[in-house]
Formats: sequence, C-alpha cells, structure tokens
Amino acid sequence: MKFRPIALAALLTLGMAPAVHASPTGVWRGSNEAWEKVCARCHLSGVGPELRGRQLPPEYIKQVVRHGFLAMPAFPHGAIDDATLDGVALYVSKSRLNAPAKPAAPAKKL
Amino acid sequence: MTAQKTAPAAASGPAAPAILPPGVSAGDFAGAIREFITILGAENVLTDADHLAPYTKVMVAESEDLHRPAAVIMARTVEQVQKIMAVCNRVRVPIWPISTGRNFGYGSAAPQSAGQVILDLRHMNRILEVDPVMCTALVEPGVTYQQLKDYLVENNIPLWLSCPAPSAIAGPLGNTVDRGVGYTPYGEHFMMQCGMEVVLADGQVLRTGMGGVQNTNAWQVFKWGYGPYLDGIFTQSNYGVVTKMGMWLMPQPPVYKPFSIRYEKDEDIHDIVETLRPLRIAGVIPNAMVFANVMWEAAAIMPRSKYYQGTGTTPDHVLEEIKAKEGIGAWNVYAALYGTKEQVEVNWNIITGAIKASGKGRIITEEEAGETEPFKYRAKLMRGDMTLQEFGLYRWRGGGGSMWFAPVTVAKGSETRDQTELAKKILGEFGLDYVAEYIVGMRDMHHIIDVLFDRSNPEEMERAHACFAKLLSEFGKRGYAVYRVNTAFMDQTADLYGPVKRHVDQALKRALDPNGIIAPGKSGIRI
Repeated sequence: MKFRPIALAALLTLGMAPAVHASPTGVWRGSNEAWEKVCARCHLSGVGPELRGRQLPPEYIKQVVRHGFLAMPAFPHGAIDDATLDGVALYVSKSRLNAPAKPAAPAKKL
Repeated sequence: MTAQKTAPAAASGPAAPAILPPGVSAGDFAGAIREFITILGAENVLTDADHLAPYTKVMVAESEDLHRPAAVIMARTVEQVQKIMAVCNRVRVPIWPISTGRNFGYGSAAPQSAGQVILDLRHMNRILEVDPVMCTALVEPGVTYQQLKDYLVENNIPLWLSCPAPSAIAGPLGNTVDRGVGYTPYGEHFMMQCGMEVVLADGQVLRTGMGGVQNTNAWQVFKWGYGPYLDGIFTQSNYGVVTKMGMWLMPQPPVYKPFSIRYEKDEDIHDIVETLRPLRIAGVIPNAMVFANVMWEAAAIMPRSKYYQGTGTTPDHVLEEIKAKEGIGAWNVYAALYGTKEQVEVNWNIITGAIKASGKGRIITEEEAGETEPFKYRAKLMRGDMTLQEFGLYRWRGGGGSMWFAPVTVAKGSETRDQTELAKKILGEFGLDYVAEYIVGMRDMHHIIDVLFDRSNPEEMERAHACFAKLLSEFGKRGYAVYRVNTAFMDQTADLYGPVKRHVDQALKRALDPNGIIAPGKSGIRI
C-alpha cells in the first residue's frame, strides 16, 4: 500500500499536538506553526536572541525576517508568505516573557 | 530601521531590474520577464528590491554584489520549468535553480555570479509518494525535511530521515544533489538516493534509473537502471534542473542507543580514528558518526564571549578553561546503535571493549547525558529529527560570516593529525578559529571546518577570504581537496581536480546545455 498525502489528509489525528499540524503541501497552516517549527527552534533555545516581551515593532521584525541580519537567515516569500509573517510579527511583538528562555545570552553580534 | 510594506509584484507590475544578465540587453531582458509572467503569473516573477533582498543574503566572504540575481522566478510545475528553459535559451538568460535555498556557508540561495535569474522551486513542494513497505519516498525540490518528517509522524509511518544540521528548514532534494551528508546510517545521502526526474536545457524531461521504463514500479528501488548511470552528473552540476528525487528511508529501529566518547587531548584524534575505523567499516557502528572538537561543541551551546572577549584566534588557555568548566573534551565522538535489543547489546559490548582496550576515551550514555546540550541535539541528528541547534556556530564569533572548508580525509589517524595541524596553523595565521568536526563516511571522513568570521567587518571579511584561498591551496599541495565548496571558490576548487576533469565537465555542459543557460559557474563549469 502506498500513502498519498492528499488522500490521507483526512486521517490526521485530531487534538494531538495543539495547533501544530504537518502540511503535506508545505504551506504553513498558520503563524503558530511557522513560529514553532522555524523561529522558535533558535529563539526559544538560546541559539538566537530572546524576542518575547520586548515589544519589538512588527515592521522591524518583518524587515529582519525578509532581509536577514548577520547570523539570522533571510526568509523569502516562498518560505513564508506575507500573511503568515504578519501573524508571526504580531505574535512576537505582543508576546510576554513568562519564563526565561534557555541558557546562553547571545553574543553582541549575531 | 524602518520597513516598508512589500507590495506583491502583481500589484504594480515588475520593477525594472537593478542588474541585467551579462550580455543581455535591457530590452531583451524585459521581453524575457514578460514571457516569464505569461508562463508563471506576475506574482511569481520578482524583480523589485524588497522581494530580491532575501535571496542576496550570503555568508561567504565576498560582496553580495558579486552574487546579486537579476530576478527571481518561481515555478510550480514541470511544464513551467520546460517553458522557462525555452525562453532562457532564446534570450540567453542564465538561471540558478534552488530548492529551498538554505545552502548556508556554501552560498545560501544566491547565484555563483551576478545577473543570473534565480529559479526558486520552493513552491514545488509535494511529497509525491511514501512507500512504507519498500521504505522509499519521492519528493519535489521544495519539500523540507520538516515537512517530510511531519508527514511521516502524522501518518504514523515508522520511517526515519537523515538530515544535515541544521535540518528543519532545508530539504532532501537540494541537500542530496549538492551531495550533503547527515548523521544516521543513511548519512551519505547521495548513496541513498534512487531515481531522478530532470528537466534538461532543451526542455526534455529525463527520468533516470528505472524511470524511463513505461509502467515501471521500480524507479525508487533500483538505482542503476541500464547503460550509463546518469544520476551523478546531475549532482553538484549544472546539466539540468532536478524536479523529482527518489530516496530511501530508514525503518525505525526497535532500539536506538546514542552515545558519546570524550577525549581529553588534541592529539587523541589519531587514536580515535584508529580505534573506531574498523568498527565503522565492519558496520558495528552503522552511522555517520562524528568527531567534534572543543570549539564546535562550545559554539553549539554558547558564544565565545562567555569566556573570551578578545579578537583573533581563541587562545589555547581559553579552550582549556572551557573544557574544564563546561565538561567538553578536546574531541567528542557521537555515534549510535540501531536495532533489536540483542543486536544493540552485542555491538555495545564490542564498542566498550574496543574503547577499554585502547586505554583512552570516556563513554557517556544517553542516561548519563540527560537533557544536556550538545548531547541532546546530537542524539536528535543521529535519528534524523529536527533541530536548529547548530546555528549556534554562527554566534561563536558573531557577524554572520561562515564558509565550510571541507576536505576529504582518508580515515587514518596519521592523516587526521596532519590535516588538523595544518588547518589550525593556517587559520591561526589569519586570526581565525579551528571549529571542526570529522563526519565518518564508509572509508573516508569529511573534515568539516566552519570558517567563521565577522562579515560586518570588511577587514575581517577580507582576511577570511584570503584564509580560505590559502586553506584550499595548501591542502591542495598535499593532495587534499574539498568535497563541496561555496560559490566564491568553485573555480579554485575545480582546478584542484585537474584539467582533464574540467575538460570533461565542460564537454558534458556543451553537449547538454549548449547555450550555457543553467547555473553557469556551478562547480566551475561553463560552456
């Protein structure tokens, strides 16, 4: 038996991981997914700087995502569309920092 | 810093390109752009500065001006790629195909030379087939490892990936056709590739291996097909645009046992290789294990500034302090066992016996390591899980500069010692650090050195460029050459492989792409 992504989309288990699902077509299902599967891997692990609770302006966040900044890679529209990025930028901008991120303050230049 | 809302190209029509492909007039290029829009739709033809910006961010020690694209076009279907080829041939527009464009430290998404049009295949991102019985997959260029992993997990298919570090945002097709490696028993990715679909410059669509046989169901299970085996010429090359790739996936083992072995002295690299090579060749250690040095380990978990605020090469006494305080070895082996409980137990006894007999090296199990980094991310890599932890390397010195210097090494202790000493000496001459790991292949090792530098400092960037050139030439004099290189050093590297190789590469290029429209300069190959 061979699995074909589209036909199997209906079989996805509901309520497994909160708000995060795979996208067989590679399109983000929402800003949450993009944040959790890309941004958070660095920015919640101490690899990249902590962004939460800093009230960073959404326009600034979007600029850095699109252009990159030193060690921060640039993300083209093919990797994240404007609407999803708008959502990520808003989320980060309004986020609060309840618990400190894991170790290692970033170097001055990242 | 202010940001401007980026308007979709469709809203305003294409902006006049800032640069043109070499030898193409503004009028002809405008005509080509119009044709691209007819084929792809205006929203998939990008010429304005805002949309091109993400594609010009490079980490190599050269100005981005040398790698600036004239435009970016995004295809979704094979038919579109065929039509693009026709336009490019007619107008002589060179295209630089990318899959996910995440070739960091090798040139990122940017073309080898300025004025090429990037053909971004990120939207060709269908997982076409996963066969859980034969343990194979067929994917398009834009599929990311994360996407494929999610698909396997959500469909409860017990197969594992092998990915490079960092994996999540890169993809299997791009990594494999650049002959990248991972860390599982399937870590030599091109060896585990099976069947390709390639759009040739003349618009023909080639299926390699068994793929040309009508009604075949063996495309993803038998690599060689009949007659000359062709897949290799579409890797690290510019002879076609790979639009589909088959690959083998590893069945999830009942037991997975990652472990580390810590060695205290720099010179231990000799004995590490001599002790572990036989176990790798015999398959007792089945995966592409790693020997990571102190700076690689440290960089993955912290910036250099935690221990050293100076500039230039990190002094040895600082490294000694890091080793002592962070519990990092001079060399740190990461390997894993996979199989049934009984198989793992047998092999574990062989390995622990060999380490004991060698008289050095301290074994650290997963239970002992607990949740600590870098063990945790290494354990993830060796089972093909998603992590971006190794991006930490880029914060070691900061500044966003990185070029991988990756000479092939014969898996002999004497050779690793010589290469390590030579690399450290040359990097030291330029005030840079030896941040290194060996990834162990079937008989070879990839000696991976991340030449890290502050790209925001022009003087340091220049120094890094000179250092890389010297690494290539000095290693070359001793018979060592890299397995892959960034876009700034492709010609110098091609020279190391000799004039006959360059001639044959060129003869193939002239035969398959007589107008030289696909990725001129890739691996030093042009018409």
